[in-house]
Amino acid sequence: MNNTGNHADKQGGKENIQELILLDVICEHCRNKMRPEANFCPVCGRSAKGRVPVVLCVQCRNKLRPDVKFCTRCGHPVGQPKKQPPAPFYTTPQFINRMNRDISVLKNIIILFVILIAVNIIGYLTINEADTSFFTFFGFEIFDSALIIAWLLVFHRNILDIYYNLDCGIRKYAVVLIAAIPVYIAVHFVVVLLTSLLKTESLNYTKSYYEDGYGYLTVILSICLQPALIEETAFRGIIHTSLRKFMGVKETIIVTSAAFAILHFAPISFLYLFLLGVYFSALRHWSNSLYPPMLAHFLHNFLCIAQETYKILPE
Amino acid sequence: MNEPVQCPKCGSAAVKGDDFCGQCGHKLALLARYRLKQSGERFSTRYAKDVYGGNIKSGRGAILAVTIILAITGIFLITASDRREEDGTAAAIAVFIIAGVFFALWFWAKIQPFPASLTAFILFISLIGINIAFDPTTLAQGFLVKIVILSLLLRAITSSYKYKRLIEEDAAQRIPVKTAPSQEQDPVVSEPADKPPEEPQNE
Repeated sequence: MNNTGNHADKQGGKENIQELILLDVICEHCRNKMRPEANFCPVCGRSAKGRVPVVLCVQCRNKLRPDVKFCTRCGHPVGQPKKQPPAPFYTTPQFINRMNRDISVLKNIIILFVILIAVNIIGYLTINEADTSFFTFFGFEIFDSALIIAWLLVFHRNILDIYYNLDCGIRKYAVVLIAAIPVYIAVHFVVVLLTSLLKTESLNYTKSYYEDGYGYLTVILSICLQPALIEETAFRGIIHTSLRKFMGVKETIIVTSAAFAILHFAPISFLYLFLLGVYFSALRHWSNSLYPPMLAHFLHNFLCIAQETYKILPE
Repeated sequence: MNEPVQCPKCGSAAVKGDDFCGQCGHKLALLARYRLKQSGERFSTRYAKDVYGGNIKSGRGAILAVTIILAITGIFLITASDRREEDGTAAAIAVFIIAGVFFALWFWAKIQPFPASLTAFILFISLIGINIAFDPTTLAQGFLVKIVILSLLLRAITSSYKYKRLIEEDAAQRIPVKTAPSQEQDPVVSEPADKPPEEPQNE
């Protein structure tokens, strides 16, 4: 019996509080909240009889005239509970889901990069062994190419359409062809400067191929064509296009070129490889196609081999 | 002051200076829109700083830590090469180049933390890879430090991206409020409050 009585009392109290909130009547003497039907203020004890207590709008705390049904300042209906402000956009599930989807693309690129590093490490560790069979010689490159093409086809089908963009103007290909020689000469003298400063020998790419009995065609396929196609697909294709959604052009070019330069595993050459990456990425952005940077990369590697074979420039 | 004005919607008397009609809630003044805008205070910028600012800062700290570690390694390589009778200058110059790059990234991270921390993560994980490729035993050296730095950088990447997105989205949402009167339809919501007394009359 007692319990039920208390329960009923509590409910009644709650209803009264609810009413108080809905109307928000305050004492005109001490501005304390009071019930609309009370004759005396519960705090200051002064009489409210004969006077109209001040009624405030629950939404904007504006003083309401006794006859209005809507607040004249904010339009909130009198007697309705306070409107909750709409949830901020950053707490809505749509925004969070959209952001998480974008971050998964970012994670995909980071995972691709980490896998490429792992492949490179394995390549470096196995290449030290003096094994000249076909698979250990080209296995690394074949695996690398297969991995990047598979990654492109599985996760980045949406960027395949840049491969159809052949029509970027003959002028751009001409610029690439003309710029190839000065770019190569600049790179060559930087390498000569570095090797003479550090008293080391620059890496000879073609020597091991000729010693193992492979001809010019293999060298061109393995050193010129494979990096031109596969590295450009990975960096200027997948990474550049995906990162462009997240940041501006300059930032994309810097991040892509840094990744491109460091993946050559030669920290001393980092700076000129970085500038070379900026050149390729700028071509990619300028032409919105992969073929000019591919051509530039092919020409650069081809000139490297020509220099190694025929020694045109002084060392 | 209490100059009578007629509400164009319901015809009842209103007071000049009112933004809304007291009887039907019809919007009377253009000023009301700006008052409504003011009442909804924007916390998004402060929220973004509170939630993501710490992670971005610790990412920047990690970049500085890598710079210092690399610089100390470079100095050690130069001084130790005299004693060990092997030329460490090539390795030391390589280390100093990368340390300089990280120092530049530390500055860049203050302006644009997202691309800077992404670049720092890529470079740092590659440096670990280069060390492993030349000597697999280096993986164990300072393993915990590497893990801590990598996780700090990874957290900085996601946090700085979310921070950037939040600020961009906030800016995009601010523009339509200024130009288009998006709150114009608000008083329509109050119409159902008027209708119920009319319905019994129709029946």
